[in-house]
Amino acid sequence: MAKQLSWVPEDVEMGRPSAARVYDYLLGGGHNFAADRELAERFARALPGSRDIARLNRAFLRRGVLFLIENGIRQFLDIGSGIPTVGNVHEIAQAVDPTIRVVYVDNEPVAVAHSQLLLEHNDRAAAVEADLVHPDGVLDHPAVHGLLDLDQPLGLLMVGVFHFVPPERAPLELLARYRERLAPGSYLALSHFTADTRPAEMAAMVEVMSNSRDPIHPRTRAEIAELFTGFELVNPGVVPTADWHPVAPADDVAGPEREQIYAGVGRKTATG
Amino acid sequence: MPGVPVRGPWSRSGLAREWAVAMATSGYVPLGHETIERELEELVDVLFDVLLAEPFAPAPAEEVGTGLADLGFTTPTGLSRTVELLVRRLPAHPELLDVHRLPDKVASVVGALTDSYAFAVRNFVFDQQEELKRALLRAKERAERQLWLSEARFREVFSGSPVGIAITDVDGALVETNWAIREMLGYSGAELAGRDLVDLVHPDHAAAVREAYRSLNEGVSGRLRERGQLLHKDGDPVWAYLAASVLRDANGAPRYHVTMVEDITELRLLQHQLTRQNLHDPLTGLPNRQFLVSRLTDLFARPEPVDLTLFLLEVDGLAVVNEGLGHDAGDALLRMVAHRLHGLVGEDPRAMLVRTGGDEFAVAIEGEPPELARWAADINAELAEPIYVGEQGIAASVSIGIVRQVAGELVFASAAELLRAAEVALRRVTVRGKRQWGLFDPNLDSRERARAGLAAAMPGAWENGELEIRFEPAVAADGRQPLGALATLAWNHPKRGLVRHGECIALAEQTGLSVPIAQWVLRTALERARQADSDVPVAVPLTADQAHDPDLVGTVGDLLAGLDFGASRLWIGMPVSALRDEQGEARDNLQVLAATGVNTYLHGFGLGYEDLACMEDLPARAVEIAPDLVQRLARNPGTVVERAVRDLVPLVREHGAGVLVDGIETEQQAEWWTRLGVDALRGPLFADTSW
Repeated sequence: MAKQLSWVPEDVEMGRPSAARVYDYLLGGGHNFAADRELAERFARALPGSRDIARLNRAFLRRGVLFLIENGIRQFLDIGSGIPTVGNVHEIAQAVDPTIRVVYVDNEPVAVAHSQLLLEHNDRAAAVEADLVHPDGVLDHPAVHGLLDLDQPLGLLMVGVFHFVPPERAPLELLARYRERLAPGSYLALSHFTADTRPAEMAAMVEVMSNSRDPIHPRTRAEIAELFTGFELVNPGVVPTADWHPVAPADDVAGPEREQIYAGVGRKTATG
Repeated sequence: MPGVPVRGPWSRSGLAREWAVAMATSGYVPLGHETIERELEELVDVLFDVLLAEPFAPAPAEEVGTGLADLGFTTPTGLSRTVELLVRRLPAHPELLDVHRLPDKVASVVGALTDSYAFAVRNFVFDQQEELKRALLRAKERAERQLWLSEARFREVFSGSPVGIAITDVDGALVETNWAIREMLGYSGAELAGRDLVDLVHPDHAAAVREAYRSLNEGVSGRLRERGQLLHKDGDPVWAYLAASVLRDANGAPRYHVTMVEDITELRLLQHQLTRQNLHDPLTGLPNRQFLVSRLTDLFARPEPVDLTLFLLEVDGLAVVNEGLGHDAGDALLRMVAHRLHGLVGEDPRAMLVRTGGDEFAVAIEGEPPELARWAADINAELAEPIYVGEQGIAASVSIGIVRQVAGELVFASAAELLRAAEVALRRVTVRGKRQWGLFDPNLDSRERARAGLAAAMPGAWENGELEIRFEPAVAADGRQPLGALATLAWNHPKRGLVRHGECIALAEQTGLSVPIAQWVLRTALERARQADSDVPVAVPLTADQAHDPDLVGTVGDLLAGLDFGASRLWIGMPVSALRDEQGEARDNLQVLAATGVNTYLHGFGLGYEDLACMEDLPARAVEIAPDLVQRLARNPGTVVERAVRDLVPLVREHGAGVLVDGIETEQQAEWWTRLGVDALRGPLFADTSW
């Protein structure tokens, strides 16, 4: 049998550094391998303040989820959820209301397996392996159908993930497809790397990531705002993560790194 | 002030608040700021309890280090900020001012805290690593299971498929083959392993197949689909449909090809047979018209015109053989013709022999044609040797229409045009008789085409009122006074001008319009004559079809009665050609009409004894000399024909019939015929009757 199998391609390489584990490392997590840490260190050297950028982005996720819950959202689709680093959406949300349902989506098999281990005993949360760039593949996944009701408003989270979508993947059309399939009253919470500030450092970071399995494509503020086409932006619009509904001094830092990721939340109107 | 709570920045809660800020910025914890503060306040209480306790024991401070890690503060920054804050604040804290040897105790407490913190973080990381490994393992297991499943599915397909499957490396060497392909090509798996797949392809197709695989590797095409010939181990060709796709590794480099091979040999044989059936005539085994058209179409698809001669041969009198001796004899005759024609041209690679229809064959010869007259004679000589069907010896002859395409001289636009030309040539020679041959004449053809166009336009013209009836006078040869009016058909063609009666009738006969038009002429002529303020006799020349019409007597009777038209005023003319035939109704019609009082005459009258016999047999009161004869005599005076005419006219008159001459164009002609003693004249020389 082994000889017969000789032509079968080698197993997918699981040990390749992944953006999800780099993020985990930058947040102080231990869910990472030497190769991830090595890449994370190069990332942090290229882009000073990376740990704070990661932390502020994670804090935005928390505030965004809480904001959506306050506005009546009771189901979440978190695309690009990555490693179940501390402070997952279901932890945040189910602490407020245990009936809230959450589906995590990631295209990295280890992150998905990890999330599934974590969620083994939680029947209101699930993790699926699918890719952001196939909206129908994501939305028609059986696990998504099992937990979420697309006819009801939901919180679509794309926090720190859309910058992995290259321009040739037609980002606007992608988002438009997601929007089409969401019920009116749904929300999109999105954060995204920008090179509007510190372009040289960003270029260095992009270079560091260019050979990883997850290259990064920063976008301008205008481009990020355009991603919300068809959504009604919630005040204050597309702003640095720290400026989006801050609640505590720890949610901010003084340096330019505070503006490295833009964030925004938008609501799908009846006509959107 | 031991035990007394103090407010403000120096309170325990103030310290906790300061600590919370330091910690929150050291790393992300998923807790609200107030929660963090509250949790830290508890830890602050623990620290104060330890420092205030007597006797002093630092161990409980370990709880604080563990507690910090449990809250999620796990970064090195978190530890350094904690140490920095505690070392600065605790020794100077108002609540602790009375504590004996406070700095030493703070140092011990911080020591215990950092120890336990380091231990807790170490375990925290270990746990996470453990968790990650479990996740990795799980992901790998799943991937492997999926791989195994897809592998198992593939195995199933691979081994069970009736389609041959070969897996080759990028250089084309066979890595694996399934049962079906081994069966198809007659090799064992071991014999095939490592061989170049292209070696199994027929040499004629090898280069194309290799090229197709190369473009597959280079990503020029995603899939290969080729029809080609493989070689069985015993050397027999195996027609196969090859479909291949490339398997790439994780970096996108081609690693293997999967080639599906479908044996279509049987299918091809069947297809070939079907094609043959479609393109061959079962009786003679020769290709059929379809085949000829398709081959000629191929020739016409070439960029330069091809020199080409097409012979269309019609077997003379096949119907006679079929009717007289039966269809078996006819078939035998056709097979004989096919066989002998094949003997004549079958060996010539430039020639193609086909059976184009029931009694029709065609020979197409590319390039320099044979000498036509000689060739036609050879064919007929060959066919003249009789064959025997039972006791009956039968021989055949053919009529041949020939068309030649010569580059620079006569080139046809399409195969269909060429064929049509050959048909025109054949039609023309068959009119002349049997065993004739003739070459297509493009000039003659264009005249015929014009005529055919005119005939085709006639029904529309009639509909549009372009056809009309004109009354032509017949005048007395002596004195030229009008004797009667002849109803003739005229066509005021918008382009061609006036088309006269004779041509109109001929055209109408080509289209099947002649009967309705002739009926219309008869009725309209009588109506118009009835309305005219005159009682001059009216003559209506009928066509042959009309003369044979079984209803003719009834029609004429009805018209006369309906219009209250005197029978004796009407002259009905019948073509003498129709009356020569004893089979038809024309003779009866004429006799009955004469009996009812209608005057009859024979038109188109000529010199043959048959014409005279008609006159003798039938009660016609007059004959009309055909205009051809008038013209012929005008052109060729003093000939035998002229002498015969000179004798004819008195004979007719002696018999008691009047003589009318049609087609008088000149005064000279009028005088010549008058001198001959005819009764009446008509023709372009005399103006039409006004009605």
